[in-house]
Amino acid sequence: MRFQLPLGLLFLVAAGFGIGVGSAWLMTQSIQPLDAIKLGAWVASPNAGTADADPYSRARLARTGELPLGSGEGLALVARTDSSGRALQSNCIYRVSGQTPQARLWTLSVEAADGQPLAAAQNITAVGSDGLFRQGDGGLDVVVAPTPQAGIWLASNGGGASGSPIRLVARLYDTPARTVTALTNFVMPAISRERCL
Amino acid sequence: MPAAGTLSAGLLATLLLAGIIHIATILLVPHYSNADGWSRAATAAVNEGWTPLISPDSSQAAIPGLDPLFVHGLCRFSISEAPAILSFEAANRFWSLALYDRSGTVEFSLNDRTAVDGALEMLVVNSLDAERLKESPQADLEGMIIVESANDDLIAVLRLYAPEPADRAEAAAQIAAAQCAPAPDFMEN
Repeated sequence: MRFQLPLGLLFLVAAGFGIGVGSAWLMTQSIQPLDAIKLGAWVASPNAGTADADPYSRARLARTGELPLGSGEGLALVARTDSSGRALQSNCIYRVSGQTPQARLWTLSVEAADGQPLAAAQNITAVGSDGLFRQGDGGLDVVVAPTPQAGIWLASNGGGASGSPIRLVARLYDTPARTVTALTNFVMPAISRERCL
Repeated sequence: MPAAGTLSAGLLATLLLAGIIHIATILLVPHYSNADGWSRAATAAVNEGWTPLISPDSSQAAIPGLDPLFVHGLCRFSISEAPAILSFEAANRFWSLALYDRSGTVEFSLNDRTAVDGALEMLVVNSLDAERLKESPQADLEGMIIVESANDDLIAVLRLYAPEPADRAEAAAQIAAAQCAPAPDFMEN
């Protein structure tokens, strides 16, 4: 019995460390912060980079290495799935269409899932609201695809292997929409998957 | 085989320890990470004054998640010895600025709409200098935005909207002309 005690203690400490660090690591692996707001396929974290951010969201943000927009700058909304919930992939053709929120300026970009840019080469991976043509009803109509498409086309093939995960980021600049009430009155465009190559 | 009482006590102790380790890990990650936003910005902000961030050709940007249509400038500075003056001018494009501290929190941010004629004149002071300024206001402060920070070590990130190559060249020139430096003589006027 006396021999078992230090061994048991050792096991206890090791297990405690293992479970503690392991569970902390697991919590920071998931991309979506706890306080995120969902608008269809789009996810916003208005608390990112503020004193109101919870410790888990802070730790997650530290892992991504990103610099969130300040409240005096704007707000980013990230879509990792289409409007049906399927993960966005670089080998599929998506249509981003619908009404866009009010902001003095906004941009839409296609990026690798970890936020790294897709190698642009000659191709465009982002558009700004001042350069966008609008449909008759003022709505947006952008195609995201690995091969050239008619209309406004964002190239998604600049990443790694075909079929790698991508994300769409809409960044709204000079917008008061960081409060929950303002965000829930927002309408974000739908992301529909047309076909995969 | 240890008794059931010892076993459950051991289990409880393990979970308690795990809980403490878990909380400590979560809280310490932002401060000790060397791949978080702050650390990456600190690595990139090599110049005295503003460092422009060059858009990478490959897919390995120094800082992920930056808007591809923007040109960025970084400035790391300390206000422990003296206030810092940040000045910048770009009248014809959208721009925004954010001040980050070591924990990745944005201490202050603004965009060109708040600035006069799209020009920024900002004084960043620590709490001590803020008190001194309140007691003896200075004439030079006309038109300056004064930001008080509890943290001495800050990184300013300037974002300029530059969707076309011509815009990018102009924005790079605007960053090159911008100032970001401590002003040790400021308080003595």
